[in-house]
Amino acid sequence: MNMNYSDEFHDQILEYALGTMPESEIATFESRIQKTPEIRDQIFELQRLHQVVLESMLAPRNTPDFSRQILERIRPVNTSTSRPRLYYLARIGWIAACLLLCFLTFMTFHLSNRINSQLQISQNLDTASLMSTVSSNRVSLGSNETQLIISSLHSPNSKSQSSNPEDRRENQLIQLTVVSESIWQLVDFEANSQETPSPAPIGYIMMDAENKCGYLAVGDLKSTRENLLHIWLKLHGQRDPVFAGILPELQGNKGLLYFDFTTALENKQNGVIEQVFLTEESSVNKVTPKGPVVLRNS
Amino acid sequence: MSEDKSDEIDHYLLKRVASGDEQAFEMLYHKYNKVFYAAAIEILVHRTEADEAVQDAFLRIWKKARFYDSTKSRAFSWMYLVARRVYLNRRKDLQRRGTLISDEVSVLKANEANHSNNQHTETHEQFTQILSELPEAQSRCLRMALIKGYTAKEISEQIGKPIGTIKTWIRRGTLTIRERFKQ
Repeated sequence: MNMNYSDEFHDQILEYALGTMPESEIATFESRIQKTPEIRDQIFELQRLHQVVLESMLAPRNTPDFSRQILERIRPVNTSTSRPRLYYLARIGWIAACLLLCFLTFMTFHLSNRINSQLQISQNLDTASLMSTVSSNRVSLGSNETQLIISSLHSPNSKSQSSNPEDRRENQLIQLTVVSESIWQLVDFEANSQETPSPAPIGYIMMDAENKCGYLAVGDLKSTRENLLHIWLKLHGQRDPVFAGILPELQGNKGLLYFDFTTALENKQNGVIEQVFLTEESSVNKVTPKGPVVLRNS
Repeated sequence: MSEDKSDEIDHYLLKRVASGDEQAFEMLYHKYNKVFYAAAIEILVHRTEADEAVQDAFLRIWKKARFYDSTKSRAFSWMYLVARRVYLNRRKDLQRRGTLISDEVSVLKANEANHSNNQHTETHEQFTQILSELPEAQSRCLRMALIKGYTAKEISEQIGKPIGTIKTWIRRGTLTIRERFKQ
């Protein structure tokens, strides 16, 4: 915090950031911070700190999933005539359209031999043993190997709308988020439709190789309920894997998780990820994997 | 996840929620339901109350998303504020009915939950360490402000210290945490 402010003003900034400022004082304070952008930055920094504290201190096990109940309460307001089955059909249609868009995008770029690998997405849609490759561009779809590239299309006559690297990165993240969520919905729906659950854990990873972030989806983790799942990265040219985090407790032993490996790879000269794998550990172990490998990409 | 990227995604999703996108809403729910649920348990103690409160909180986020202003607050902080208001209103109702367990029990329960969770993060350990280094009253005060969302006035009434002292403790405690996390 800026030490030039009075203690009283520091307290006001804190109260505003934490949301404990009395209602009667908010309007006056907001008019003051509008004139001083640096105060806003401090508020955002404090809010970030608050989020870190909350997320680290509040982590119970067995959190119930109320998403269905909440969505049911939302839907009468949105689409009073919608029915669950129609909802799923509509959702599958949306997912299919999204996948089709990915495929068409890939074909367009592949055929024109102008592949712009802004965002590489690797996946394997064999849902019996769903596993993916990372950063290798290759995707196994049954017995065929191909690759999926997502990149926005625009007319060569029009001016580029996203020359700004920040905008481009944001667009990449949004695309990755939407596609990951879509595929996760499809996989989850298929898994729920099966009469007999998969005997082994399943998972897939979708990653923005450039920014080293993406989504990890896992399911059927019954055997690991008592232990911790550690995420490890095998880097190109390095013998020992790098610890990248611990999977949080998942409702229903499945979930789609956002990850960012930039911190784990911060001091690594060669940050090219060759393999991602998950091990089952009986205690926190950040040095070397000891437990059995539960999931890994080929 | 880097903070900036997470903020960008939250901001984008919340804007989508404001335009009625259920899928974006589900994504936000799955991203934050754990911490929101834990906060509900922390504030309301009773699990059944927390169950209902967390649903009401997310419903309120859905309804109020169009009022979110990214120039005033981060998306997570805005959502958390909305949720916490729901919890605190419910808490007041419980207190009126005399069915709320005292804060001491609540703190004990929260500690039990944390001890049973062996997925302690480095941040968790750091924060616990900072709290343990403070005198008991200050530690309690900081926890009440940061975790439970009490105002300085409310903490002053509960701890029995002047409001100025409470504000100083919160300010100093927050600065300590910030400095320690920067190291």
